[in-house]
Amino acid sequence: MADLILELKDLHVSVGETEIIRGIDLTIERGTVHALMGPNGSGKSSLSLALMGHPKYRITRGVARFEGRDILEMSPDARSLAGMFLCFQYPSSVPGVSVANFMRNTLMARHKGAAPLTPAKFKSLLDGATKSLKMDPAVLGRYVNDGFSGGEKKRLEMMQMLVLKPTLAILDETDSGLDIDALKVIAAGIEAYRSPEHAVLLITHYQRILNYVRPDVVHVLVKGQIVQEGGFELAERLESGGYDPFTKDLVGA
Amino acid sequence: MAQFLSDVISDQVGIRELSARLGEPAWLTDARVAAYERYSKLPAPTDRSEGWRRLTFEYGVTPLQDRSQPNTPELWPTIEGSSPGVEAVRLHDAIKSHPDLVRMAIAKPLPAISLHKDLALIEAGWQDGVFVRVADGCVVTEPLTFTYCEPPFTRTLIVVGAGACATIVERHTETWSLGLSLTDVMIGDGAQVKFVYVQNTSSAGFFSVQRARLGRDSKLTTLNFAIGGSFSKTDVEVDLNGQGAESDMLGLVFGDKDQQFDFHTLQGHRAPDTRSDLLFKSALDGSSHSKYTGVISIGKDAPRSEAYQANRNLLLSDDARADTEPKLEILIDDVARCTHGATIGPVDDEQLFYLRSRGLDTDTASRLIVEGFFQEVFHKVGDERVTADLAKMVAPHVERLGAH
Repeated sequence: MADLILELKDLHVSVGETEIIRGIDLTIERGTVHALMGPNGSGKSSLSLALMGHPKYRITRGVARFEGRDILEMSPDARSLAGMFLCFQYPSSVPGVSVANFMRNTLMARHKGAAPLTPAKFKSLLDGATKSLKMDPAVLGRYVNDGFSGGEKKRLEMMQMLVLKPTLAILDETDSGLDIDALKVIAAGIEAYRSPEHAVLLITHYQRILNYVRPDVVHVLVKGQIVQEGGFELAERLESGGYDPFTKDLVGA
Repeated sequence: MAQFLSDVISDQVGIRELSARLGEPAWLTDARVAAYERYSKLPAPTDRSEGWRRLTFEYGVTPLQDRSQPNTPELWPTIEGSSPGVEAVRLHDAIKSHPDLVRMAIAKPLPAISLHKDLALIEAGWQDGVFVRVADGCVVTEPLTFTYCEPPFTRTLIVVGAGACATIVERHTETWSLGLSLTDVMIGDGAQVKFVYVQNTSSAGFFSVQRARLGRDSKLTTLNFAIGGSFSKTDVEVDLNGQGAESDMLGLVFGDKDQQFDFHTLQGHRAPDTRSDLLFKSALDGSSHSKYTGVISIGKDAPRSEAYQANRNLLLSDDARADTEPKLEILIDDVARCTHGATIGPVDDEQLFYLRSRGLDTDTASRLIVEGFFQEVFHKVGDERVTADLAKMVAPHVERLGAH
């Protein structure tokens, strides 16, 4: 039997009165990388925020299970502790809270408030993560995302993923706005995280990152519905033909 | 309010008696009497007066005469941290050792940019004080701290010589129902000063006026840290009087229960190429209330000045309130930059969600955000020896946040 990490059935998501996700089915197995592609406004970010439990993105209908558990019953923090992780497209800044202090708190939360690591091990864990992402080690003393450039924010999101080692990583346009060198660093981070134990939902507008992180399955999301599924060749088709054919299909349907 | 003030100092005779008992020279007695005259003439504050609008508590105090016990050593302010080149003594001793300097500062005080009845009152009725003098060119590495406990009316005079460098902490831990405090800081050319004012009183009403005058190319960083008192009103006025002078004004308030804080700041640009930056923050729990009024004044003789002002208020409960009012008085076109901004609101939902999405429960996430809210200001002070103590004072309050 397949080892299911994420299972979505007829999932509907609304923001306020507007339905953004209009009934999708999606199944992610352990050890796989799924790419969710779609044009702007297709509902990609809404889906990722709803999966993580953002209060403004309400799941109004359907089933959402993480490792068999109904996540609708779980708070955002419970989802995180269970092993879900969202790389935010636009992470919040938290002035006055250093990256190191923040990471210490996230690790403590995973050990019921006890100091999980010796200071030396904690430091070497963070140093290792920053180094692999080619980040300035001084980032640990800076305030979380405060005054960070777009690229620095993406790297900090990736760094948290590498340190927290979630079971499922949802990457919301982690590739957007990056130059090619930064993109390669991010892609290498995803590849380092990729393992038979983990699963990735890689949300992107462009095929570009998929040249570095080869997905097992590609889904195309248009206007809140998954309109096409396939392998890597689907992503290649999108690169040449764009989303227009799918948009038209949907209008015609 | 008027009722209470007249209780404190009944008349000129009371002032003269106080001065005589303290063994003061005639010029000081005259200065007190003149201040009392000003105090008498200033209109009594009413509920609607600016700065007194929200003064809703009742004082009950006994006359001043019963309070003044200047010869009791345990009532003296305590002074910690001595360094070569720094003199820190009781103000009455300095009247004898530095008669001209003290006389100049007291008899010809910094022009009060705004008129306060409470300022006139304290100039008339102060009972004890501290005098700090840092010699020219002296670089003081250890922070100098003095703590007022009693008596409740204090006057502080800080004179920092040209090119000197010092960190000075004035702490107030008064327990009288009413406290009044006046601080004058004179900063010589090229001096670099950090001044931290800690208000941790248990007064029903506490009033503080802090005035600073900055010489050419000098830099002053001030932090007002207020956590005590049922009602407190604080005026911080910085006079950028020398070309190229720079002022960083920081403020941090933690309010709980029904505490009220009324802060007034003045960034007074009086010379060319001066720069001021201000960040005042309050975190308000219970039904506490903070009111902030911030004036940026750029005079005709202050071309190319730069001024920034930010007031941030974090409401930690539904009953907490904050008001903020920026005022710009700019008399010149040639201003390099002048910006201000203010926010009032609860802990940001997006910040909270971000931290929760990393596994922190709501209470832990909120505490971290509030700690960060304070830490940002502590960091700007740039002297952890001083701010670590303040962070400790706030910590138990922040710890309690999850409790409701």
